[in-house]
Amino acid sequence: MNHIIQTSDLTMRFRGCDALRGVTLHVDEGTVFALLGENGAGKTTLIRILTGFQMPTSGTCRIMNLDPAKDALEIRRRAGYVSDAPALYDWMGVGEIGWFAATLYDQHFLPRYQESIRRYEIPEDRKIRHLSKGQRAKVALSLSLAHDPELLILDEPTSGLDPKVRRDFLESMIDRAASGRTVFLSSHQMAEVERVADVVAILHDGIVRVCEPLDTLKDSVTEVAVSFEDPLVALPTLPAPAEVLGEQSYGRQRSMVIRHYDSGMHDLLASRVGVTGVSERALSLEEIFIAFTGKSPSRESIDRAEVAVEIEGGGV
Amino acid sequence: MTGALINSRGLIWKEVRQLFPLAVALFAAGLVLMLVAQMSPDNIYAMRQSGRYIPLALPGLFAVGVAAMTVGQEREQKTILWLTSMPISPGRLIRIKLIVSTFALGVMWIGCWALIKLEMMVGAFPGGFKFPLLPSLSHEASITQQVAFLSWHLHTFYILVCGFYTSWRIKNSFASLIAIVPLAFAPFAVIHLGEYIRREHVGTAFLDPVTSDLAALAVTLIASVIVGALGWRAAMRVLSPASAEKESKDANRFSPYAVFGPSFGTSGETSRRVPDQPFRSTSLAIFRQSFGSNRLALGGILFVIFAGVIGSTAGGLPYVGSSRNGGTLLIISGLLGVCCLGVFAFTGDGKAERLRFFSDRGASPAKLWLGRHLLAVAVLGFASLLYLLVGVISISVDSEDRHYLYIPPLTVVILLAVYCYSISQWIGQNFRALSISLLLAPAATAASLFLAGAVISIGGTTRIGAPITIALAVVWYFVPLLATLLSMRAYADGVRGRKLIAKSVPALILFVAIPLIPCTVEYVSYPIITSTQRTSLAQQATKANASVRMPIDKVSFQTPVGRHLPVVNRTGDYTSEVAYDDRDFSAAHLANVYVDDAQKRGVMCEATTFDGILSLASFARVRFFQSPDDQAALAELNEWMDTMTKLARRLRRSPRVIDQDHADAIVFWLADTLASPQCQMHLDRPAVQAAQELIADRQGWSDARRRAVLVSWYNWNEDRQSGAPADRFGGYSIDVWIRTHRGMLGQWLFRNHTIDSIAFHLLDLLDAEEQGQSSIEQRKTLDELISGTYQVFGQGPYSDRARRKGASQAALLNTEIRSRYPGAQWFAAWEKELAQNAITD
Repeated sequence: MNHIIQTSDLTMRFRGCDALRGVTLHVDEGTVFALLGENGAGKTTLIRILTGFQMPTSGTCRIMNLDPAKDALEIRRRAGYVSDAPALYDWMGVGEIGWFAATLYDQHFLPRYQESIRRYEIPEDRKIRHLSKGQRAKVALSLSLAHDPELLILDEPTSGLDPKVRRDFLESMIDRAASGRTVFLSSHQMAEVERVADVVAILHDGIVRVCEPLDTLKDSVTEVAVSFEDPLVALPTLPAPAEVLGEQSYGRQRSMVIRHYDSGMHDLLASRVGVTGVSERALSLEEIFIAFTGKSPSRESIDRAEVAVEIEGGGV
Repeated sequence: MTGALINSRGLIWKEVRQLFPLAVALFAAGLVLMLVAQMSPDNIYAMRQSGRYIPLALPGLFAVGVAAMTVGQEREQKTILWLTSMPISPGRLIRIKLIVSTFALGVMWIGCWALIKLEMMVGAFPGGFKFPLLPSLSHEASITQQVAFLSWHLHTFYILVCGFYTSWRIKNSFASLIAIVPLAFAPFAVIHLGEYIRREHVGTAFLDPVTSDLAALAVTLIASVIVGALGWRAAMRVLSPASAEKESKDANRFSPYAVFGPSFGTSGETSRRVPDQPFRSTSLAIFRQSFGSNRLALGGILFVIFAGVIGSTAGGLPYVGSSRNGGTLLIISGLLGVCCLGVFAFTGDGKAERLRFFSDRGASPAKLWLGRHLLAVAVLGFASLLYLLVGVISISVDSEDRHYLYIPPLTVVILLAVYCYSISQWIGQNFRALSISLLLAPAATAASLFLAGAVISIGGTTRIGAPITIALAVVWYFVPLLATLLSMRAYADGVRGRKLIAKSVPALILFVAIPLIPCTVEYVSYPIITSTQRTSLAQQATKANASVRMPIDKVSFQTPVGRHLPVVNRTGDYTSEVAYDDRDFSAAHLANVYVDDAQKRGVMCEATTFDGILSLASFARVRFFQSPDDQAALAELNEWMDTMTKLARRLRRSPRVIDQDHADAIVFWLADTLASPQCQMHLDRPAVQAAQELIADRQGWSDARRRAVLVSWYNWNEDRQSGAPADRFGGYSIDVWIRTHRGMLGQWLFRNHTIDSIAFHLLDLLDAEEQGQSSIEQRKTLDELISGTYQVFGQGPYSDRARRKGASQAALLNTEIRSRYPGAQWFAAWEKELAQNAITD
């Protein structure tokens, strides 16, 4: 499969702050690629570099086999981009802005745009300034999709959209991917990403912590809850390739998020003297994201683990 | 070419749509200012003169605002982010913006010339249009005009290019607009510097103005190219991918796609000390916020204001006094700076979305309002102190220029500055587009001041009394500030556009209505005649006119055989009528009075000609009185008496009111002459007897006057209805009556009513006197109609005091009184005495 986006060791330094620190990514054609990261992780910087608005401090980047720094115009012609807060001309009407943008694309742009606007049920004669936030987002999306781009880059695309439209939009992203188009989106909406993304990358402190197909990622990360007779009992070091992403203790219980965990490790932990129970739980994408970005698992997940341990412990 | 146009039609359409409001606002403001200037009182001559050139300012103002609309606004609202995410090259985008703006500037120039043409049609440029500030050269006028034409157009283009440069270079719209000012004047500075260097080397040798103008043109052209190139570079930097090096080094550089705020990660920001204690007053917090951001813009405004203060006060200081004209420019720029300060109050951190931060935390609208104005209080307070200080130093320094120095009183300056500020902050709150606010604020300030001046001069202020006038003026003065205070809640809640303006409508109505109050009072109390009275007047006038033939003869000095005086060449390249120039007149020179076949027809005599006749006749009388035995003097006086008698008879037949007053003056002169002891010995002379007959023949005086009033009114009315210039009534200048006291608005309101009323009350005066009643009420009304409310009736020409026998001589023989106050001496004491004597005789 061809890589529609390739970055190699991208770094970006802003006034004493490293926004990106050696980002290397490969996005395949026909996929929905989700870039996850906290605020300030470097997502928008990466998108700016991909769309040719920003030169990186170092590293290389190619989009559709084009250099964004040199061929920004061609990339913008073939790609669609929606920023998190698109600033449209608010004095224009909905129809007018479509006509205006159509003068910069081919003749199919306007009919597609009008069709999209009709689907979203936005009156064409209404001024942009009189639209709600969600309606503006719909107009921005319609404008970015109307030229049927090979690559669609979306920065927080669904903020402001109501649940129904959000669902429709996400399904249309899946359809696009199915038709061979590529969607690159950055989002905080884990549930949405989980629903549509083929591949997920988590960016943390300017570094790509993980970049894997969603299913693989979810399969590879497990939350393990261990119960002890004595809280001072030490656990054995898990063999490679296991990687403990996070660990927390609550009295006689310990919770760990482990990547590449397998049944052999369960036995290893369970056989440890002083361990009264070991339970595993598959994590949601949000929990995986938090584990990768160094946040504590929620209290709720700990409680769930505790219950599981008690049940297991009871059965032993 | 066509393909490129088709591909760019969307962009062109967008740019045109963005510029349209600016063009409309400027044309509207220009038209209002032109109207105001035309309505201004005649005694403010400079206002009229400057007002003619308002259309010329419109393209310049447009050039200032263009870049703010097409670049600054896009950068501020970040629409350029979306625009550049589409497949359009930076070069194409910049080109289209520049081309459309230049084309729009051309359209503004066409509009400007159309307005000038309109002004020429209404007579604003009697000698043809001429650019201001040009030297008065007759032989080089054409080429100077052509160079001026090119210079004005090129300079507006240069300003446009400057605007583009500053808008691309400086992200802050306000600062970019202010930065245009020094750039716009830069070519002039270069020209003056060049002139200074030239004088240093070759002395103050004459330089051909055309050469000088062409040099200035070349400098502007070069400056346009240089600033254009800089602007292009700045634009490309903004629209091209941001370079990593630049991003990492320059914290303040604009990038529309900047990820972090300006304060992120900068050592300077993080090391800034945060006060231990927060502000306890919301207003003080907002005040601190006022100069926390937009520092560049604020610095520019302060610079301009303080330059204005220095310019207006430092004229007496050495090295400053020599540029008195520059001082005037600085004063104007200082007031413009105050206007900018007013707009500044509601921009940047004064925007609704920023103030909402405070509003959402319970700050009252009054506190928000006060907080936003504290900066202006501080700035204007400091500027006042500086004004006082520099003014005192300037006056105390002994320099030649000090004698020419006029420093307006501090109170006047403060009142003017606060007024400019208050109007501007009102505009700033109501108009979202900064460029429109900044251009509209000084225009609205000037227009409102001129309008108030034009209306106040109507005279009603005297009628309503000083206390009420002062109270109204105070309310009017503070209405703009009150308006922003009252609409502050809506503003802070994010209400904008037409809804916000609607909140200001009551205040606007009050602001417009207050100056109209004196005008309304004047209108209500004006002695307007009723429609019935006017109908009656019209019927009488039509009847009187049918029986009268308008005289075609006009008394003038001619040769004794009835020809015009010979014209001779004089030194100094001018010609003159020989006798007039030599003052060698005799009664015989009034030959057309003697034309036999015209004896039964009336004659017209202009006031100046009559003044000459009266002077010459009086001179002959003085010569005779000095030498009663001189036969030549006696003959000359006889000749003059004969001429005056005949002239009086013919003037009585004239249907013009002024000729009746001339006839009265002759009768008075003849009676006065005959009463002298020197004439008593010559009563048997035919001329004397003819004069006595004229004096005794009082029959028909009243009828002649009545007929003259009616026919004069009839002719004036005919002229008015036919569209002919109806500027005279019965030989009197209507403009002299109306303009002096009532301004242009007064003319428009009262012109027709005034003439109707004067004619009616003259007739009423005749009726009253013929019936032996007192005419004081009629005379009071006439005095008010003609003199306005500025003159006390008891001291005016219609008073009993002016109609006493002793005073009548001065009134009748004084040209100014006779040619301005119709019927002032009708049935006065001297006339009644003559009538009494005639009865006795």
